[in-house]
Amino acid sequence: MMNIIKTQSNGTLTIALEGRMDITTAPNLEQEIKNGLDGVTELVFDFAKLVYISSAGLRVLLLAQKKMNKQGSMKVIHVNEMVMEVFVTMGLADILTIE
Amino acid sequence: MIAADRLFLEILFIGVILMTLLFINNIILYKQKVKDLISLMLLSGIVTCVLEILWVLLDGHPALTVPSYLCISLYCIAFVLFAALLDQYLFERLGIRIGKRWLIIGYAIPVAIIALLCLTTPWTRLLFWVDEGGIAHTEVFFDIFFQGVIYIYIFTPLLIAIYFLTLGKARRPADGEIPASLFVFGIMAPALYLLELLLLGKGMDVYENTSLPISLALVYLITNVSTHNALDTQAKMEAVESDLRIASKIQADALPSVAPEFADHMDLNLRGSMNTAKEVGGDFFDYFPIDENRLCFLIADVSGKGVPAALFMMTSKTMIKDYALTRDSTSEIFTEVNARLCENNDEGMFATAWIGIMDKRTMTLQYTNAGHNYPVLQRKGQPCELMKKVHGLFLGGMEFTQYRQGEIQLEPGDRLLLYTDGVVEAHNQADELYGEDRLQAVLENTRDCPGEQVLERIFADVNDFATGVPQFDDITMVVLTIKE
Repeated sequence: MMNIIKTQSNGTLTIALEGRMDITTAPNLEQEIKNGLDGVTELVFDFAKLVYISSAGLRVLLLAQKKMNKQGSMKVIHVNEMVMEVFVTMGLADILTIE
Repeated sequence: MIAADRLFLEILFIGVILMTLLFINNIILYKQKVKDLISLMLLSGIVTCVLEILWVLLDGHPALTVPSYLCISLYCIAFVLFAALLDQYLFERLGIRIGKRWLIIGYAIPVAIIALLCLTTPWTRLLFWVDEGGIAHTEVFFDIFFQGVIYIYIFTPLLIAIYFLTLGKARRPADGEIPASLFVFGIMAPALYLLELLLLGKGMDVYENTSLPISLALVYLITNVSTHNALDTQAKMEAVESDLRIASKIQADALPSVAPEFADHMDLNLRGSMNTAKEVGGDFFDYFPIDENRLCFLIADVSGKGVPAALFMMTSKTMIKDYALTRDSTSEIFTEVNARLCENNDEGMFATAWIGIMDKRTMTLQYTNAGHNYPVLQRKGQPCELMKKVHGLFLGGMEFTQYRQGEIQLEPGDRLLLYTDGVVEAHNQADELYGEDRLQAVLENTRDCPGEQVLERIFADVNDFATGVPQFDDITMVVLTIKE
């Protein structure tokens, strides 16, 4: 289960994720990333309520980062310890802007 | 009620049950949706037969003329829908395209006229009427128009079948058996009708009892078509399974399965093992000599599973070996491989990987970790430690990643274990993870064992831990032992 909550103000889109992002839930976010980023210059992922991320989720984050490299910036906020460890292990900590 | 009517009702009732079973069967077994043509057709067939049963039961009851009108009207609508849907279903199955105009003229208009006649018949008496005694009498529009339309619809399959079996042989659809079933169906419906008339001893003036033979013949047709479908699917599945078996074999052959000469040097020993969760997996390991003094070994885990992961695995494995033989450092190898893997990688596939190059003269190990699980280093006489160095993102992630590298000095009696997350993320029935601690405990207990035994013991321990839970991920390990 993963809930995707989107709030947009001007060019800033905040996507808050709740639950688990794994091979079954990541495709939902991928759809959002593929179709819903027109005109977005700043993308913020709020991970406050994200409890788990698998490699399928990392893949989608990377797709988002690649897309935002072309049209603006992206950052990830409120990353919990476990998710942070995954970022560090997989080498994503260097690529993403994490606050 | 006369005996013939009773017998007729009984047979019709069996028809309803047969069709209902077929309907449920199609939904549950063949995963058809209710809005699919075949389901709609069966449903209208069931409704037609039920209404026909009601019609016979209501007939001759003076107090029930209004229900009689309602029942017979609905019967006519359901029946004509059923016959029209039957044709649509067959057109769809046989890949026959009917133009929109012909669909409207041939099906929509006749069905609409019959519906209109049904709604107005209590006043116009064009289709049928019910007398004071509650007995229904069919009229000219019922006998000629309604029955005519039904007959035309029902005999369409027979005509199509004759066409495909004779003139249109060359244009026969891929589903070659279906015209034969249609042919039998086309003959079966009138044959059953005649049989019904003979059995029930009714005169030829009884037109209304046509839904029974048609529904029984339809049961035959659908069972037949469904069986063809099932056999077809089965044949396709078998072909896919055989492909997978071959793919699995190719993949297994790509790994260094037998310990080659170089893996058993006088100073060190290398062993690897892989157990895939599906027929084909996304993990891989490799070891090969770069020159007479240096040995390269690596492990990797491709995102995702099954055939896509296996294809990506084969590409990455070949690429890594190519670059390993021509580049001097592990960081260079991964920087180049990553750049190649990022080209045309629209699917966003990636692989975490760890590569090491061991120099046998100096016993130094140069290594690069591209987002892979931390290897366990077991120094002689010391507790295990994780090599928590990451030198860049996983391979295939970002195009211009510059990978870094590290170096350690190994001593006789040291051991290094590489593994994929299938080991540490195996979980038991209580949903606990196997984890690094259990892995290190097995390593502690196998300090004096040769490499292959260490791998066997870990795999057995993971399996014991995960008893009752199907293996979810590939379990792959490589162990390097420096001899004392």
